[in-house]
Amino acid sequence: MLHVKNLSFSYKKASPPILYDLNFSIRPCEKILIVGKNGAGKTTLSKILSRLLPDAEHGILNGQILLNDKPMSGYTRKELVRRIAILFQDFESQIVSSSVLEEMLFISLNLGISYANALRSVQATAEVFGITGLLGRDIHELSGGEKQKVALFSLLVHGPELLILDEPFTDIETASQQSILGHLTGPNFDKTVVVFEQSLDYVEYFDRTIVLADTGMAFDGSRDVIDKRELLASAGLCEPAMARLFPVNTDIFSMQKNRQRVAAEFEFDKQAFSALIAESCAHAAPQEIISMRDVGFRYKGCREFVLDKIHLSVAKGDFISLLGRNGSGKTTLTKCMAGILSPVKGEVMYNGKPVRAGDVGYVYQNPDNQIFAETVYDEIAFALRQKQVPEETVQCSTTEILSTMGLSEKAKLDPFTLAKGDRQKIACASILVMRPDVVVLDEPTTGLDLPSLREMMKIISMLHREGKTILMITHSMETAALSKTVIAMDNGRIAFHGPTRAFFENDELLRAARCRRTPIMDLSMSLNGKCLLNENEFRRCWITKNAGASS
Amino acid sequence: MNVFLYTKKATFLHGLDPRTKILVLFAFFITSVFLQNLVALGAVLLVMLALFALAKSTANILRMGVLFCIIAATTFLLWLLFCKGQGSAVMYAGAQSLRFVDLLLAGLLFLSITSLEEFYAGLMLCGMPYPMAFALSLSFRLVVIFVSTGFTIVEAQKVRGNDVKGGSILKRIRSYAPLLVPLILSGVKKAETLTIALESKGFSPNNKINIKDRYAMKPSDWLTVALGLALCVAAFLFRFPRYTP
Repeated sequence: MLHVKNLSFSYKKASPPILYDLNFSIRPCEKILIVGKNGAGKTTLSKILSRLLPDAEHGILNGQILLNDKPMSGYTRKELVRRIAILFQDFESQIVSSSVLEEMLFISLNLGISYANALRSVQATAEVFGITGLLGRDIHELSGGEKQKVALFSLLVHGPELLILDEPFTDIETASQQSILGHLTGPNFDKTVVVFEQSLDYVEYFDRTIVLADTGMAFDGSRDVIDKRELLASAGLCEPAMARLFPVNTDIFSMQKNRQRVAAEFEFDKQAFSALIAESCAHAAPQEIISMRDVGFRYKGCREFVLDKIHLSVAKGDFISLLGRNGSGKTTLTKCMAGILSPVKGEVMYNGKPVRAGDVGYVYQNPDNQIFAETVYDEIAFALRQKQVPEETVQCSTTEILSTMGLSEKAKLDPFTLAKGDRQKIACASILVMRPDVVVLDEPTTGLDLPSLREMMKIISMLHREGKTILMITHSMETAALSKTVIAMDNGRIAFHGPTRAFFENDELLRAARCRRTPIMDLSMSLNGKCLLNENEFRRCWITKNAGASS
Repeated sequence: MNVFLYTKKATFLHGLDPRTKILVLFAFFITSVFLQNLVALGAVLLVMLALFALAKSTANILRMGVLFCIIAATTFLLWLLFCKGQGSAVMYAGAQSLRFVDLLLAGLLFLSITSLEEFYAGLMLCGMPYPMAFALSLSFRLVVIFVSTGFTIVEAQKVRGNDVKGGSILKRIRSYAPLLVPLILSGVKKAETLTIALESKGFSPNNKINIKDRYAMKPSDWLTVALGLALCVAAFLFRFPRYTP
């Protein structure tokens, strides 16, 4: 269907090519995963495959791309849109209408399809993906995840042959990610799907995997890519956790085979598990740092409460993951907690006093909403200067935080020229410099590639060890598994507040919060009903039989 | 956060065809311009208030009430001070001020019962070319984006101790700089992406959008249009009685 021959691309004549000498073909109905770290050229390639580059953006394209044996340049935009749909990484900027229905209708109407037919297709698509309830809503009423769903499903209405999705699940809750992927890559969906991602987490859904590295295409083959550890490491990627547990070639995607293998080769160490449980329970009598009593919140002009009857006590030094379906009120809850939003009813107390904005450190999801200074140093020092702290103290604190965050060498650089991972760290540092006892992080790992994600998690763990109270909104179950406590939201209310393990053991709660267990959790649960949260816990509790004997 | 005045209700007025809504808006504008009599303008005001009640949108009057009162008071004072009216100056100034309020209320009623999509569909059905109508709709969408981005930026800076609401004027001006940079940058980025987004969705100024089968004038629409026309004619004859048959 699509043939890419000797494709090279650079944005400017003088700059080195982003993509170099790519050659591959895409067959009809193929499901392809293209992975690469930040800067590997994923977004550029996605735009080239839809001919937005160089049609709508400047760049120097060499090579040839044939769509159904005809050069892509020979197609009109309308002909291309009829055949190819693309979802941008920045999905919000792709939404051009004010209401969900209009957005879903937009492409079809612009392609000249009659309103009646377009509406029928919209309703059918909405029904298949379970978003009928969103059709009557305005875009500005939606949460980030709901917007991403609308942006994605609006591309399916007119039935394009090729679907190109650039990081399509960054804001969507886990359970929906899996059901959408299951549908798009399933046998009943007779379209070609190309998904660009930063990790191999969903490799099992795809027929084929392409790895993009700085040098060009590093791999083009099946899901066996997970066995090529050196290649992945050189491309800034890593295999899924299950592949690390079972490093010798095996079908890691078959739960039954994994279970058989563990039963044959490993044995469960009850003592280690008891020690694990004791460790997670062992903490001093919790001291309350934030309390919410009967809190209700609704936005101005809206009748419906986004939060209702919230009773919550946050213990000092806790590490909490805030989970829940899209639009369940997670961000609103944390903003009320941080004193950024004032509840309509009830009270929020911080250390026994009504909370004020600034008491709690709040790191926003998009670092670009706060960065403004000319240098990284000035950006981080800004909050202290606002408080009119003596310049010597400013210098001392800023230098210290720069060093902690690994940003010392970038102190004099313009923050806007840095990668997203660094900008996220700057946003985090500019809050931490105020030394807040409680830090709220809204989706701190979204959009980060593996190296940046690991660094960010290292920083979060370090803050927790230092005694800070951490509250983290996340859709990543792997990330949530690192926390001590989970708060699960459902429809503006708290559905669960308790130990992370207890949350992941409870199927009903997981369903309500649209969360899923990770493959490691699933495996451990299926083996003996004990939920092990991550690779480390699994290795600790399931030891190889020989090792057990020798010890 | 709702930055617009549209109220999502299932009332008779909300259910009218967008063309009817536009025509009735103009009917109220024309009526208010023709009438100069305080009592007649007061009667129009009462009709308008009744329509707000019918549209279950009286909350919008309260929302804009202070602004409307300021405009009405200013108009009244200016006419009273600088213009010589016919008859009683107070009555004349009162009528001019009431006319302003009637005009504003007509606009507010229209915005309360017409969604953005209906507005631009109505313009297209009235003959406005698709690119112009879409550009108008898109500009409203962008307003929402900028306002919500602005709010997020204000919040993000507030938690870092930069509160634009406190301090002297100079301090406030200075505290706006950290807000403007991210806002401008996000605006520039948005503008850059918008062209590509529209291209990716097959938008072209030459596209012919067929929405005629989406909206149809019902008997209730024709009746409403007739009432609107009758209102205009009545106002015209009230102002120019010599044309009365």
